Amino acid sequence: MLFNSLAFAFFLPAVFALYWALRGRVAQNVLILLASYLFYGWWDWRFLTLIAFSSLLDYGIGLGLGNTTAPRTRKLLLGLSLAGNLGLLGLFKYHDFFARSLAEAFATLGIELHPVTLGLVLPVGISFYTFQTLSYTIDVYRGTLKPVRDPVSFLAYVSFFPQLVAGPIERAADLLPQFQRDRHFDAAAATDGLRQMLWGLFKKIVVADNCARLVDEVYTLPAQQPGLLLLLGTLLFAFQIYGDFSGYSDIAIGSARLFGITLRRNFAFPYFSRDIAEFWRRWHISLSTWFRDYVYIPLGGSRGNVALRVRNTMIIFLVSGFWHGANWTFLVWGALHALFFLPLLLGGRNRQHLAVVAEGRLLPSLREAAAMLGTFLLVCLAWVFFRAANVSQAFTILRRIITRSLDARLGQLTLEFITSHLTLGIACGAILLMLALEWRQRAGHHALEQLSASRPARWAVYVSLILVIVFLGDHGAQQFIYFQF
Amino acid sequence: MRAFLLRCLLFALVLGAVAWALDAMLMHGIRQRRTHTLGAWNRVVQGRMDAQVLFTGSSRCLMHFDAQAIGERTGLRCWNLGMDGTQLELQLGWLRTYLAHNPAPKVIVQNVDLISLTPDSGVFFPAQYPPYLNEPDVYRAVRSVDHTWWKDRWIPLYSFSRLGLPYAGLAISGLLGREDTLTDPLVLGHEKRDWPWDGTFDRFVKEHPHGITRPIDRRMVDVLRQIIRAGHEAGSHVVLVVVPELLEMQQFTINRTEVLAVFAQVAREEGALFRDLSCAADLCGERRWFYNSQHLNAGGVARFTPVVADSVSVWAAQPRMPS
Repeated sequence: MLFNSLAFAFFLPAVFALYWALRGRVAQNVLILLASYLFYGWWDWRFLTLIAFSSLLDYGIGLGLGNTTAPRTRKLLLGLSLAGNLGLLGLFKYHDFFARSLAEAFATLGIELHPVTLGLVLPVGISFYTFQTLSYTIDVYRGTLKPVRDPVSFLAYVSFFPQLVAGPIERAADLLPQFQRDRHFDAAAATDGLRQMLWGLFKKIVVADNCARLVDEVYTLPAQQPGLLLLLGTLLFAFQIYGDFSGYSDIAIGSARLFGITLRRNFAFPYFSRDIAEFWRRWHISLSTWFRDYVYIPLGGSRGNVALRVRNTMIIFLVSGFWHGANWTFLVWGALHALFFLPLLLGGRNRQHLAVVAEGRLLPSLREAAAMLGTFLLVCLAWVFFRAANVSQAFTILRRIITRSLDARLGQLTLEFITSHLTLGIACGAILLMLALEWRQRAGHHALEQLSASRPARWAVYVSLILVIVFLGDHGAQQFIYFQF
Repeated sequence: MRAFLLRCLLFALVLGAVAWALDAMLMHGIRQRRTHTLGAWNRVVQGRMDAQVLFTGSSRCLMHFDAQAIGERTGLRCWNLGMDGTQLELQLGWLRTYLAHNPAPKVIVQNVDLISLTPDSGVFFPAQYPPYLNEPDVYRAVRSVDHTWWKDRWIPLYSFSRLGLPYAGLAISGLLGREDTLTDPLVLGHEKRDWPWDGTFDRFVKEHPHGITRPIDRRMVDVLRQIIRAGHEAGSHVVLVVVPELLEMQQFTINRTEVLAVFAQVAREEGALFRDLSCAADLCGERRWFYNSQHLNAGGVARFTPVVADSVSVWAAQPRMPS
């Protein structure tokens, strides 16, 4: 079920009404569990077995870890959880990639292999819930979390529908206790949740989906496109993926608040970052902190000599890239970010921008603006690899942007594209509106957080935004990009 | 909780009222349009038609019956109600709507062709329906083809969200009375296409080297019967006409005889006429009269018009059907 579908518009109020009509957290958890499985099964009910398997495996392993102190058994149980979860992920997501890559590698040596590819459909959100459930087992193994005995609250924690398919990736230590205690309705939180959902829908339907149409057009046969158009397409993709993914997170966080559940923040206006380190503190926060806590720090983090720090940084960014998908493009994307990040880390400047940019001022200084622009362009450079179908196509795009942007004939084609696409005007207007409102609220959580004190004025803004979504949105109910990961 | 729910309810009411008012205003704007397809439908639902001869059908009707030329030749008031990409169910909906709002014509010429009896495949050109969903026959027709049209009927602004900003633009220009009247392709409902041969037929033949068989859906046969009955109940003569089709395509359709036999049988059983004009005026043998295998170009239509006009004169000379 998509957040931007009519089905969800009926589903959410129905679950909300039932949820608060029920007395006691046990009944509410059962409802959350059933609703979440319905939400997930809406795509393909067969994949419910996977999520149920993953949840029950870690529930059982958690209990096992709670019953033993023998290090060997505990390691064995942890290994079982890792093998089970990562095995499933590997089978569905990476098997064919490795099989094909191996065959290609042997082919370069003149040896012909016939790899067995499975052609499996990737279950929606498998990377998200796998990481979520793994965090539980690892925390229990480390002793920082007690194993949960109530299976319903555990299953509800893994499958909680607002964040099930595209995050934020929750930690058991944060979310599980919320399912184990009574929830009380908080009108202010619920109201703000609705505001955040509205903002998320705007970003998804108006910004991201309008950009998507244009980006798809530009990135089809990029070898024939003018350089300027490819540059425009790449800039639009930067806003498409931001609008799409942060929009999803806003809707997820907002809907969870309706149920008295607080989810972790996933985006903190990343395009206002002044360097790549700050960008990674603001982009897909739940994933980067997951990798930090469960991969980077166990590897030694930023301690040790230069070689170790470089190694750890490269590993975390490459793994992060690979998490996104079984394609070399994602690995190059991760490697590029590592290269952008390393000079800051090695120079001890990776934590120089912890405060909000231009705090207490209306506009940034020239230096801050230049830093934000520079960071944004670096991020866009990496987005080329993220969006391209393969690495060679990404290099073609970059080459054409550099060498074919000033060609007069191709410039004419770019001009024709710009003047013939009404969607481009809508997308640019929406991007400007989004940036302006988010800049205004950059110290807060979302753009609609602190509007005018007067209720009629606030309502006028909400109604206007809904009308903008209706008239200017792309209502093809396009999937969220991160569902594929 | 109670205060929160009340606030939500109040907001929903405000939003609903704004959306409903805006929807009503924009739909009113579309109903003011005088040109193109929407202008034609507006004339129909406003009861401003008084055709003696009405041509109905799909794009083959729209392109092939030059209502103005036929009218000049016969002295009869003619109108072409052809709709691009429509199936019989949608044609029935519009015919009934026409008959509900306007005087019944003497003759209804229903275009039938080799794909008339194939099952529905969705609502093509959806922009022509939203302002008229309050017409029971139109609503029933679109819902029978695509059940999700209830959203357009009952959710304010839904159609505008689906059809985008250009549709709102049409509505606003209609409201302001600022239409582009110079580019209206329709003359008395007929669209003339002076297009060159487009080669789609040759590609189609390559894709289907062994020819094709057109399905015959019993439901569509029943709808065809309902079209004839609707005409008869209004007191009109109904004639089922097969318009010119490229001979190569005729030979390419494996079950052509079978499909035409169904038309003939339905016409006979329902008391209508059936005329196969697929090779009228020797048009079918030459590609130069067509822009694809199914549609005549403007030159082909000019040659076809006298044949139709002469037939129409004969059909219209018969006494009215008892309604």
